[in-house]
Amino acid sequence: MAAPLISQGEVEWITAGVSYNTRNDGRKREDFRQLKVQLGMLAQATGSARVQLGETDVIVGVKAEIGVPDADRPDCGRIVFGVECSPVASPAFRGRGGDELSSELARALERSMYPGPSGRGGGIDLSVLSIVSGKTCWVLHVDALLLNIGGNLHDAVSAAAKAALADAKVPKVQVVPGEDPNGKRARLQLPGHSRAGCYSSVSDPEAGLAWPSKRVYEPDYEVDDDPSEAMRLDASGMPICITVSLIGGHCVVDLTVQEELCSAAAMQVAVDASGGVCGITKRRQKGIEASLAMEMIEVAQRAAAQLHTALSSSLAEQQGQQQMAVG
Amino acid sequence: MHVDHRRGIHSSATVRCRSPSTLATITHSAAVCRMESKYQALGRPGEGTVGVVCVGDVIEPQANDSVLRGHGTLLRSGSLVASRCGRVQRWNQLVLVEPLAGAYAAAVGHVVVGRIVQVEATRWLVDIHATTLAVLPLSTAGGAVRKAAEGAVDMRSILVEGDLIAAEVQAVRSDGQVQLHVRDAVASKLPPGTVVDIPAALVRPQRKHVHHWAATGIKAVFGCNGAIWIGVDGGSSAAVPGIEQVQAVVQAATAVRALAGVGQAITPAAVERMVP
Repeated sequence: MAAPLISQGEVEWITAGVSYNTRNDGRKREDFRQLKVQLGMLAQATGSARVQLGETDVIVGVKAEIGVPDADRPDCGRIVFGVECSPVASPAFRGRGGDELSSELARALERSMYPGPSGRGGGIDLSVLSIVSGKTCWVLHVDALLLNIGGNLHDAVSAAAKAALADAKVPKVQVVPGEDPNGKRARLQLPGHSRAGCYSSVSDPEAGLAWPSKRVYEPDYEVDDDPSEAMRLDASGMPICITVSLIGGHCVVDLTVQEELCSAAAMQVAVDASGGVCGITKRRQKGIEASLAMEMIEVAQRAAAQLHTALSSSLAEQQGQQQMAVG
Repeated sequence: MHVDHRRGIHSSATVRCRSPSTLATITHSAAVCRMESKYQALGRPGEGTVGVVCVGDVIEPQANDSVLRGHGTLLRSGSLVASRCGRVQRWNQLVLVEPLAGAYAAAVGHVVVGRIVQVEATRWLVDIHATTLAVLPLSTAGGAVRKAAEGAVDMRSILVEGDLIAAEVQAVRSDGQVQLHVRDAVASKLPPGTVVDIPAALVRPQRKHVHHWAATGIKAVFGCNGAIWIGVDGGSSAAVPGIEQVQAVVQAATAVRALAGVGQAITPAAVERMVP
């Protein structure tokens, strides 16, 4: 009973309904189910969001940790995506059963967020996550947990990841000079001004050292716990993945589990709020004609506009409520 | 009893919640009261039985020896008190509380809508949303028996995995295994349509389980296991369902979901009132 089953009669029914633009729940082909967003329910996480798209239920938590930047992008932070399929969602996910699906979803999220060489241009500007160039940066661990499978997982997970990153409050970090063994503190230039932070420009006449200093002070950082000083991430440029499937030659968006069983070809298009396409992945086994592929991308752009509007209005409402609660 | 569906808590519920039983430590949470008001419609007034009870409610103020305690009841200070939320059932001396939530519990004579999940040599295993799979033996599957007499039967030519069938519960064995039977295995396969899944408690066994809408040529089968199948009427089968049929089925399915959402019992009459 692990894989969902469907009868020939139901497949014929769903295909007929799609051709008449009347799906089983009365939706049109390009209509989304009701989107419910809840922010900040995980108190221990840097940011969190729960997204319910119809029956599909996903929770995403963001945790910011201090780590080491990539060698090819020393002035940027990092984002690491992980997805877990909970056995609560389906008995097939017991043990390692959900590994394939979870790695597929995590890779899809990563692909939609590729930044340029400077760290900008991707979904999130990674250069704001740098602390000490080449040495220390924020690493955001974005972890998704699937609570219920109701179809259209990719879209729900990417919407939840965007909401969670928008909710994330990264603590303020102050880079302080390292302590020298004599107990004298030297003035250290902030990152962005110095190339390698381990040399200090000393203005203390008592120390009697000239630039460049021979003494190496490892810079230290202090994390400010004050939540009002925390940095909010700008997730407005982050794309949402839209899965467009073909049922009987028609393009359909936001499929339920039963509808997914009737579809043999699908395209996942990551679209940002301005309608720009950030990534395309072809899914399932059947081939798609080129002209149909272009049509599917256009459908995805239209559908993404809908989802972005719904998501941003939910976010604005929730964040406004949070402001009122705090202030 | 005044029911306020918006708040989900009604005044008389708080009165009943203050019963002097020793179960007062179990708090009557808002969720419990909401469930009570949600299932109000299931209680049939004037039958002499209490409709829906909550945990801690007194069923029989003086429970003497003639009262047999069934599932879901507790004896506290000489009175019979409910230990779970549900509907009170009385069978002669037996008093029990039937739960409203939970998996479907089959009984003889129930009509169910199930899906074939496994094909074996002489039987099919059917998923009827119960705790275990039900069995549809070849011998009880009407028309197929005649075929069997002529030679070996190809089970898959009759019913395969994924097929939806409408069957009746023939027997429930002591180990809980449910046995189904159909008049004709091939005819029991449901034509193009869709299944709406709702809580099984909302579909009571009734006289008529099938409702036809002649105008649009669709029919609905109300399975006691909470699976309501709605689709084209097999008799008037066209190659492809027409747009009026699709729209009519979607309307009926939405009506069923709406009724289930407010806890109304799903009967052919109730659905017909919403979708004439």
